[in-house]
Amino acid sequence: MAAAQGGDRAAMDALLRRHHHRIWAVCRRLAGNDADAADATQEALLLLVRRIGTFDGRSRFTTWAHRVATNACLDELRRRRRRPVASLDDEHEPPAAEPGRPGLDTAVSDRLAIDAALQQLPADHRAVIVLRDVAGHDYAEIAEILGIPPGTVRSRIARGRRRLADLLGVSDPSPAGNQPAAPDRPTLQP
Amino acid sequence: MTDHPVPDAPDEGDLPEVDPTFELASALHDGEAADAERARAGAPDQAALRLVAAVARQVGDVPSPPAALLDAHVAAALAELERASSDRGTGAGAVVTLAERRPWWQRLPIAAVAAAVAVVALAGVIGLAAARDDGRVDDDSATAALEAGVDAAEDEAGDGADDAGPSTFDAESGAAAGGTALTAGERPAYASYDELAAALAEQAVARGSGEPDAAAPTSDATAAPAAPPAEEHQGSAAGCDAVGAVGVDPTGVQQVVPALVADRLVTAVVHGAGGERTLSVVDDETCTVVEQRPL
Repeated sequence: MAAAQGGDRAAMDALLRRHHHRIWAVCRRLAGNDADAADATQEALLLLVRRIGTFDGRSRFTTWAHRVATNACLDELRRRRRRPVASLDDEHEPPAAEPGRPGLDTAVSDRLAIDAALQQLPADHRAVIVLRDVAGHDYAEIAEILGIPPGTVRSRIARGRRRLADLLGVSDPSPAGNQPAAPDRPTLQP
Repeated sequence: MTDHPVPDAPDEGDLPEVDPTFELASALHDGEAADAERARAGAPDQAALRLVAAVARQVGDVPSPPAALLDAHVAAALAELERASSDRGTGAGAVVTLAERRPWWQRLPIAAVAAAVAVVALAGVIGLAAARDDGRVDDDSATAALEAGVDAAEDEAGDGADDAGPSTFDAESGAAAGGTALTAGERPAYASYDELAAALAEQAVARGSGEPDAAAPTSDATAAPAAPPAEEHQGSAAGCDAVGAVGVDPTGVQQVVPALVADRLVTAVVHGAGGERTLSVVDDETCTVVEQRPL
């Protein structure tokens, strides 16, 4: 870490490679598609390089890095909303099922469904769920990353999951599941 | 390929509250339920737990990045590192004094600003009292008080500049190395972005009606820094170019206000044209926009 902060190329290379997959995963879920996630991840890594001098060790590096990355991803996506972007419709078209591989189209459809469902959540609910279920942060870390109280993290995660369950059509046999299924359910896969 | 705007996600607050049983199941799944809470609730709702687990599993099952992406991303980031190093080597990132980099309002110590504000207020009180007593405003006494206040403020500013000493600026990270950036205790503090937005909106209303900045943010530590004219602002006090981070035309920036929101050092940038005003909040540490909303 100290070497990377000092500008050591090899140390920075190793650091970036160690964290790339997780940052990609966070950005991928926040963005909802590969192209935006790729750009957002790149922005996040550039920002990490530029800002690593400000990391003071008060929190875990992973927490700090995900704070930088999450903000960079959300920032990049916010910028994209402000300007017209090239359509990525092609990317969202599920590939045709291959003969003899009946499970493939189902897996792709599942991924499209979760992407679409996540995009229907408010950004701050999406962020807490992604930081929990993708990055594996605990509530206190998520609170630190997003600058919100831990109690808000907990309620947003619960509300977001409840909404996702409705959108994805996951059956809910519990008596707590008393909300009607959303009419705009994205596709498939109960 | 067609051009189209990406639709906005729903606004915050769109999601309804959930049953406490479901929220507990969600917390239990994450290992975040307190012992007392578990004891109070009794046996966990297994069906709700299964539901939470199913959703969490789907969210966590992220497709792997394309194979070439890792190398491309790392290469670009390392190029950025080398570019920054190269800038330092050629002197492009040479050390300069903060005083030279900062606009005048950032060079004024808070104490000097507070002293000037206090003197102006005092002058007003004196003037009003004189007007009440004599039926007219005593211009001489008010002017004298103002001049004394300005002198005192200038002295304070000079002392502050001296105190700052040979501070430096890290051109690579943009971080102030010995800076006069407003500390957490010197910034107006808010519990949430909602509070910050409300204070700025009230401030705008007060300005529009010709009143003083009655809604200027407050802090228990110091008087809030008065919001200077937009054209004087370049960026946040932590070495981050807040206006640049927002990515708007600097001529459309109306206010740049350092603040503390939920213990996070941020800079609020109010921008827009015509009757539309937008609040963008930049995290000073990461230099990214963390909140954006119409004001």
